[in-house]
Amino acid sequence: MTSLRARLTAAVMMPLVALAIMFGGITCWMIHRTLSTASDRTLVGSVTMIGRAIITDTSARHQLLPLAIHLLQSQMTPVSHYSVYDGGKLIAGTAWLVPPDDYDPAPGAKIPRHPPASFPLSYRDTQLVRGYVDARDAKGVIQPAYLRDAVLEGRSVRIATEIRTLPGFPHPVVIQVADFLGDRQAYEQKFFLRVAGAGILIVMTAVLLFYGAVTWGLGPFASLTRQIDAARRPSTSHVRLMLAEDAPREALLLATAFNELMARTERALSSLREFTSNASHQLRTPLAIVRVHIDVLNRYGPSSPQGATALADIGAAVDSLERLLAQLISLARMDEQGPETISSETFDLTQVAAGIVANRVTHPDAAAMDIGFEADTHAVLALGDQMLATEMIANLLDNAIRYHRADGTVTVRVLTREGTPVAEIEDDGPGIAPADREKVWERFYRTPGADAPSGSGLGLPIVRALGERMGARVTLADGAHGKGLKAVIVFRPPEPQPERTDDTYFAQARQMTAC
Amino acid sequence: MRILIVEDDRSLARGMEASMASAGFAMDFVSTGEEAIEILANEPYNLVVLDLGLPDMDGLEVLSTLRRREVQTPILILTARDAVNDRIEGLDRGADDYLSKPFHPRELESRARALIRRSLGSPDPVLRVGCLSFDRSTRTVHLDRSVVELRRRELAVLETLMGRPGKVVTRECLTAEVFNFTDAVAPNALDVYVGRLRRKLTPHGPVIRTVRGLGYMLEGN
Repeated sequence: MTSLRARLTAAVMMPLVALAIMFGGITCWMIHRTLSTASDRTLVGSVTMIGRAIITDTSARHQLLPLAIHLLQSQMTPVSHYSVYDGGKLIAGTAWLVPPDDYDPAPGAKIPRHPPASFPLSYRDTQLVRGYVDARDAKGVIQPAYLRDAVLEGRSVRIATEIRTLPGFPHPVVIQVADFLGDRQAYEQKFFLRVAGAGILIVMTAVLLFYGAVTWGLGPFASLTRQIDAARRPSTSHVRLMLAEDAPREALLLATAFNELMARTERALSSLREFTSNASHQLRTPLAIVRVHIDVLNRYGPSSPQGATALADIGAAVDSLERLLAQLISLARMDEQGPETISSETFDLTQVAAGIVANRVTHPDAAAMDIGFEADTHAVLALGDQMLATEMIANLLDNAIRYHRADGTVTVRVLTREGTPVAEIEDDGPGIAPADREKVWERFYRTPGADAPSGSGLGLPIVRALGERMGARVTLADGAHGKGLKAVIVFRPPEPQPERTDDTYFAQARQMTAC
Repeated sequence: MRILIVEDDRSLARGMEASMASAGFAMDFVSTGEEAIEILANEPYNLVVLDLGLPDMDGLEVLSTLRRREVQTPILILTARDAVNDRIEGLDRGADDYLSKPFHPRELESRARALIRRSLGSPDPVLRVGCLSFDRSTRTVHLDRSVVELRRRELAVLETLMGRPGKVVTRECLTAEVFNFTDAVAPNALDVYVGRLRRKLTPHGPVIRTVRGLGYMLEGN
């Protein structure tokens, strides 16, 4: 696992190092060229200087030659190896610096065998005559000074050679000055090392600077990472990422997205926690009732009046437990299923509602009630899931029956209002105060009042959840003459079916709704 | 011993009432916090069993109001929520004990007895006056090691008198602790129970003296 900082630094430093190496290479090559040329110039200059000293009169030569050598040797790059040969005879200098192989000692030989050494001049152009500024010095030069490489005494050398005739010498005189190439390389290496050192220094400085820059640039992200890391400690709650106002857009986006996600998660968690707590609360009370009444049965016996009440209460508590369990399961199932599992089909609302009413009329709770069904047309088509619609209407009808007097009136009505299919369940029972009509949709909310039979507070939330899944809206209103309660479900109208003549059901249905 | 149940679920209240009544408590029951506050201002109870989930106001609020009004009665809270915070807050606001639903009725009974004992300043479950001993846990009475058979009301009267031996217990106080609101009490009912008790305690037991115009007194050792 590498850090982003290290990655970025590496990504930038690799090319930078390559560039530094290339630049260093070019610099070293140029140093080599410059130093070689300078050394070659020195060699050639030294040869011409010795040549100049030799061509003087014999008397002066004995004084001038050592003087010239002395001058050459006190240069910055001293000339240490030279020789002057007359034919095979060494006149002065080092013996191993022998004349070149192509040296023709014949007195009459006058042909230059090599072009003279030349150096490109960039800034001044001095006219040289066979290597000499003064044309008189060039008198008698057979081979003007030239450069060659040779191996002498087992070492590579660079040699500048001039051949000229001298009065008083039988053969053409060979004047040579040599440089060990090894010395030159050693000298050059000093510079190369300096270049390498400078390169390393520059690269290291760049690494430090860049690392710092990256650290600064990634500062907001590092802060995010630290905060997230701190939030991973188990006791932390309410995690929010904080950034300075001027943090880069990308970091702010990330932090905002994270915070929104956390807020959503917290909301979901807290609603889950609330649901669990409410659910356990709802389950505990009926359980407590069962326990207490079993104790009563034990104490008084089942045939006593207390025992009879206890048995009835236990039955009611078990009923409410059963209902609660069924509702919890259906809520949980709804929460876990996605809306994509809901089929969207056209169904006959009238038929659905009529079926439910017929089923509920026989319910023992509704024995003395006046339960009616009203439909203004034969078929009212709605779009959605028939099973869910059945569930919704049945839930609302059960509610109307359960929270009502034994001799109350409940009416289920199906109609088309402004082109949309509507189902209404109306009763003349206790109703729900307008102030509570929003709250009753919350899970586990129960309207205050000790007289009402205790419900779970889940029936209406289930109806709304079902409605939301199939695009139906549920609202509560006053019943007829301001008494009781009217629950209204507005379903989705079926989409107009263009030319589906093969479907006889739809054709019939259209005719039915038209009349 | 008289207990007030504050519980909005009628079925549960009915059960607790029946169960505790058979254990010898005189039970009353109200379903709202407001009623509870009102009734406790006037009636002497030995214990209040308070459900925290009430329809009209929060049970904790009822608790605070009662303690603010200097109601000294021990209060046992019942909660259906499992949250520790509820219990902590309940105890901190002046409750003496708590039970989580679903509870075992026998546990409620034992806790009720323990709370009442403590509030009367005698943690020993057995009350003793002379050779008479009253075991409040098993609700049995012994006189010189032989069991005295007593009815429920007789036990209640004797328990109250034995709780304050050598002191006059007024008729009103005795009536309030022995009967609940729904008991149909004849004017001389108390005298009838005291008369039966006297009969059963003679000749060796302590004497119950009538202090005319005031009430009764169990003579001490």
